[in-house]
Amino acid sequence: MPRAANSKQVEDFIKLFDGDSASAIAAIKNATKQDQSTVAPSLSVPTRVVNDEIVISVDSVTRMYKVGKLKSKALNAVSMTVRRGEFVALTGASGSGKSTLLQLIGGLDEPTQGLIAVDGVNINQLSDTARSEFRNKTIGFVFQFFYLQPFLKIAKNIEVPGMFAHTSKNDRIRRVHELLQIVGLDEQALYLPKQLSGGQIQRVAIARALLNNPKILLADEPTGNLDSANSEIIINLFKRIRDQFGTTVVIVTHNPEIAMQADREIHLQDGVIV
Amino acid sequence: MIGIADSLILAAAKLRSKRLLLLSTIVVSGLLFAVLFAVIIVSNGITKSVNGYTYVALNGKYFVKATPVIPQDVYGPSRLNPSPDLVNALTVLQTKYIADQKALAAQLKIPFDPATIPQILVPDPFSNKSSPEASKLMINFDSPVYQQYVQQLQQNYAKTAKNKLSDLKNTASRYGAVSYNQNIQADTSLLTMTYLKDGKEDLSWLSQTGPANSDASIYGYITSSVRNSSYTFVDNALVQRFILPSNAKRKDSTAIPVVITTKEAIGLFGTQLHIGPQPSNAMQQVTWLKTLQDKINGITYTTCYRNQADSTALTQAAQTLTDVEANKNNKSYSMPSLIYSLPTTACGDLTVRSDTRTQAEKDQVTQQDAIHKALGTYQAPIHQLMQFQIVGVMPVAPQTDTTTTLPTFLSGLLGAQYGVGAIIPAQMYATLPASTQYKDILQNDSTSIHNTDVLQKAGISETIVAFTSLDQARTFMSTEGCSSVSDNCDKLYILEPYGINYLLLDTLESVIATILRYAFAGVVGIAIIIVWFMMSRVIADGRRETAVFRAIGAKRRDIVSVYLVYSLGVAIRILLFSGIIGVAVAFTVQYLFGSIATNYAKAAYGVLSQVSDFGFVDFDSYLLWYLAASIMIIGIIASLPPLIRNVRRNPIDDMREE
Repeated sequence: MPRAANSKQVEDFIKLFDGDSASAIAAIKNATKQDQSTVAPSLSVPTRVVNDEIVISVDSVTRMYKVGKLKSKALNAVSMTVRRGEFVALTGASGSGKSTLLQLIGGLDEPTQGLIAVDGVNINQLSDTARSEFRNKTIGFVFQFFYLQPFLKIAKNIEVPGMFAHTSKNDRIRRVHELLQIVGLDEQALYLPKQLSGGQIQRVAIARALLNNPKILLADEPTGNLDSANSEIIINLFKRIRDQFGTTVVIVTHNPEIAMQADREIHLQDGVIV
Repeated sequence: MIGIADSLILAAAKLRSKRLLLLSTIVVSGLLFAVLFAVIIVSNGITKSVNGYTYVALNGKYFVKATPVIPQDVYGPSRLNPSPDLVNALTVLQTKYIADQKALAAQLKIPFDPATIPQILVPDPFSNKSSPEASKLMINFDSPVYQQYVQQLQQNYAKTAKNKLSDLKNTASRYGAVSYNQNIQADTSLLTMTYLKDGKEDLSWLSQTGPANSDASIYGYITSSVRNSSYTFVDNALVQRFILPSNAKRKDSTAIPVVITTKEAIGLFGTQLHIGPQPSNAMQQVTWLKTLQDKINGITYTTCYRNQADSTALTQAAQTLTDVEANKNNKSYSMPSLIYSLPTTACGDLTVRSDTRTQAEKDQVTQQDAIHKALGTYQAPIHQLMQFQIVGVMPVAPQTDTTTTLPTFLSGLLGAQYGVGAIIPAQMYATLPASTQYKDILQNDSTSIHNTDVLQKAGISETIVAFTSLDQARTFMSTEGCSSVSDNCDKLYILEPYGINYLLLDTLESVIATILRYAFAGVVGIAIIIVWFMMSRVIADGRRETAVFRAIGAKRRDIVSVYLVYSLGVAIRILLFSGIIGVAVAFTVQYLFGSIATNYAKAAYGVLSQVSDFGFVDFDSYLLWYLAASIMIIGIIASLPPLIRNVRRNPIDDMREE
């Protein structure tokens, strides 16, 4: 029997949609069907998808910041590629430019020079609105400080990217249910963030990042605020996500042990890949 | 763009943050708007209640008193400093009058002495000796020539006047006037009708010191209409609300019906009926008025009417008796040949105490009377007992009371204002048998033969015009007349509300509108600053959150949508808070003052039934919707500037600031 059908979860999900039990039930039924289909593969059967397709291409990218009258080069003619399904760790000391590179890849920032193509799209040329859609559909962001909405329940927090994507309510509920199972927090769906531990909160943030099925997951120091046990759980989760969904994962870290668990490590120093 | 439902979810989550800031914003702004809500609700309630009372009291009609504007010179020249032209004109008239009288005497074959005709111009004892001759004279107002001259002036004016009753009807009908009534002074001569207290005629007025027991005011005027014999015929419709239902005392009565003020009722009959003066307590006022109405309904009183000739005979008789008494020990005093004793019964005849006149003296008197009869100037002495019956009482409205206490305010707003004098309901009077109408004494018609007022006979007199709507009356007054004589009136009429000063409502609404205008501007300004400050803080503190939303795919307009819904949520809370407080205040006013106001209103009106309670609460005002809309708009306007600043920021900057 699929997990979604267990009665406790059904009750919780009905509570989630106060006064709208019909849509909750419909969502769970859908979720059950989807579980049995190929859309959301079973966690117990890894289906790692790694190929040679370049999904991220950074070509001679320079990023300069102006601080007062001074100009500072955060990245200097950086070039790199990442293949689909690859788990890459960006490492380097503080100020080396790793977070800047991650934000440029994610379309949060624009390079001063150079080109960035993600999933075949030159994101430099996107309008602000198109870039927002790109971030919403293609990228999933995970932050060091989680940034959940403190007064939204866990399930609602995970739903937020779906709100911006105009995903139907039923689809959102179904997807939230799946993701809570993936991150192992289906029992905490109705909790507020303050009721969870740091590790749990980061798992919720990861679930939120995955809501719109992004091709790329970008994580900026995702374990920076966690102890080693929770860091291990998070890294394993990233790996599982990569393995199950073929999601490309790029994380920024300065922890060598975590970097070692990635498929590849790209080290930056003073804005240059070394 | 993000759906409304999702915006609501995110905005609702935001509303749960910054609670202290949000609460203080709602409370401060809400209290300001609550004041406006309360003022609108209460003023609307007062206006509606007063309108309701007015409508009921006036039986659905709005009366306008139209007083023709007449140039002062139509009433005659001033007594002093006549111009040379006027002196010449009056001299010519005097000469002609004497000639006419002489010719009439010759025609009647009676002797005529020009010296018996009063001079129209007499020396002014206070004139300056160096003044021109004409200025040393003054006009004798008692001269029959002067009366003729003034009548001529008025007849000339009446020929071309455009403010006669017919003109008024033509004009007022265009505004929807439905009826016209002229209030007629029943008798304008003071002290010709004496109130018989305890059945006795008070002749103290014959002494030079004046009435011994008059209820003269501190200004020296006798305030009692009954003692003053000041009566006015008024159409029943105008005083219907004061007329009490008929009872056993009034059945088959032939006394003249009269409505007097509550104050006068207490003054005349308070002791007899064991009713004290009007209490100040509102609840007691209603009970007091009810008791007064019950006890005074049908009470009768008698007056003694004496005409000018009879009064003069009484005065002369009293003077003679005084002289005789003063000289009773004076042996050189020559006793008058005819001495009368004053009447010993109420409204009785003079009785002859001693008559030592010679036959020649008697013949001379007979001849004088014959001459006056022949000239049409003879007036037989008449005295007549007349019985009045009280059929209603009306409260006294303060005319110029500017105090601002609730009772005086309501009294001024609702009280009756029918001018001076007791009122004789015209239609009730008309049903009396002819024998008790005393038509030779009372004039109830401007065309009465007793009416010597040229202007009144020509239809140029105060007229009460009735309209069926307040707007009609208001438009008529503002278009066709002046509100008072003191404002250099260039219109044909002085037009003012009659019965109830319903225009005070306009004044009230105007004052409230002015207050609201300034208060609204002030409150809106303050509220915008407060909400602006709050939104700036909330949005500034939410930059990281906005950046995260942008990172996970929110467009700028999604952020705008969430914050707009948030600001609307804030505005709705301010609206609800201010609305609840405003309504609570209004109901508190109703609770505290409702019954007091109702009692004051009933007492001020003089009507105890067929009126609903005075309400201070009424929500039927477009201003409430304006205010509610304004609060919502303020919420949006105040949030736009910080919001625009916020969405223009680069999210990465805000994330980096962490």
